[in-house]
Amino acid sequence: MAFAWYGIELDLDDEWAPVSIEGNQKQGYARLGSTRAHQVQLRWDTVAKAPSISDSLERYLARIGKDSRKAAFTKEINVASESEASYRYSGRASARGSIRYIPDRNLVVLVECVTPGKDSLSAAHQKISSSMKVDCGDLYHWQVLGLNVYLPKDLEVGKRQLFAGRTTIQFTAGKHTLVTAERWGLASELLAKHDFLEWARAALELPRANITDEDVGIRLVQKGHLLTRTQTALVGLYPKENRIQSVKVQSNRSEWNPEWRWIGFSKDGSEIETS
Amino acid sequence: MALDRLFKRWIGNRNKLDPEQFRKARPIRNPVVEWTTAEDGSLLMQVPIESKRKWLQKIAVKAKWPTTRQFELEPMGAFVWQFCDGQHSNETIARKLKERYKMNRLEAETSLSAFLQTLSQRGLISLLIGTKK
Repeated sequence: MAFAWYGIELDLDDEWAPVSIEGNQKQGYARLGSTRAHQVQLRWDTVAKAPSISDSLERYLARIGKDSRKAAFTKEINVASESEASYRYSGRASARGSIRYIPDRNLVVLVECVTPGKDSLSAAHQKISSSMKVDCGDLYHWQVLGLNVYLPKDLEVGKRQLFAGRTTIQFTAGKHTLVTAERWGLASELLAKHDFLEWARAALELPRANITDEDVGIRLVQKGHLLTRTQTALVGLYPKENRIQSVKVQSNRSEWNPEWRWIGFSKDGSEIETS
Repeated sequence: MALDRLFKRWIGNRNKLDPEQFRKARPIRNPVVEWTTAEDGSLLMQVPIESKRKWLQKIAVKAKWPTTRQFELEPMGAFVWQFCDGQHSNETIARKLKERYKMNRLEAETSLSAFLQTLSQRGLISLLIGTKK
């Protein structure tokens, strides 16, 4: 299961699942847990100018050392370049991590593997850390619990519901635009009982929407009135993964028109290959 | 208050499994349950109703009350049911569920846990904990 949040992507095995996600585009934190009590922590922080990676790391490790109280705390830092360093520490927990500065986004990203015991984290950290990608284009990748979308970079996360079988994340762009990305599992079971078009209309709560079949998937448009916003949704069916995915935009601004590439389809209708 | 705490400690700690124990536990069907499979893959189950009170049994016979309770499982539930034989662990069933319905691990484990809890509450299965003989 790959994990991607605000365009920061980690390629993880299926044993990993999100435990806690906090923060916004500027600064945030995600913790993922595995079945073996190991954890991966992802931290990101926007900086005004290129930081000294070793100073940032020293400050971070000093804080960890303070938190470890009576447990003997040891650390080791290896600075690979001006924008990249790796480290390990041992205190109340053992960890291996790396820190990287991404100049295109003025972002410092820290990836850390933690274990409460003394297990070796070297291989796990190497694999996870080297898989990290950071999007710097106009779309940011979001992938969590089967939801896999690419959305415009200016969005901030609002409400989210990470349920088994249904994952929903709401995003806001200013006061006037609301974008909702959703993923339903068990698509074949859902569609065994319902017609796809009617199901989409009901699931996306667009009862008066005009539906057009666009080969790749279906587009639903429900025009707004004086007090309501126009709602446009794209719904795609992914038979290989037995899931349905949608992106709904509620906005009166014409520039906010969903595109197929947002839900993982290229312009010619083929699925964009993702891990 | 002390009695309340004692009661909670006594009742509250019963039947609690940690996630690792739950993964290794093996669900087994209640032997009195009878079932038939429908064409669409769903399952119709029948469980005899037995009252421990003899006078109630007599009334039930005279009043011709139903002697069985019926449950229906959808194809996905029926898929899980076939592995509730005391041989397959929850971890194995979750893996099979994941492969068959293309779910992610968390999704398969959460759904399975909720489903087995419902079956257990209805008295249709029990969980075997410990090593396989």
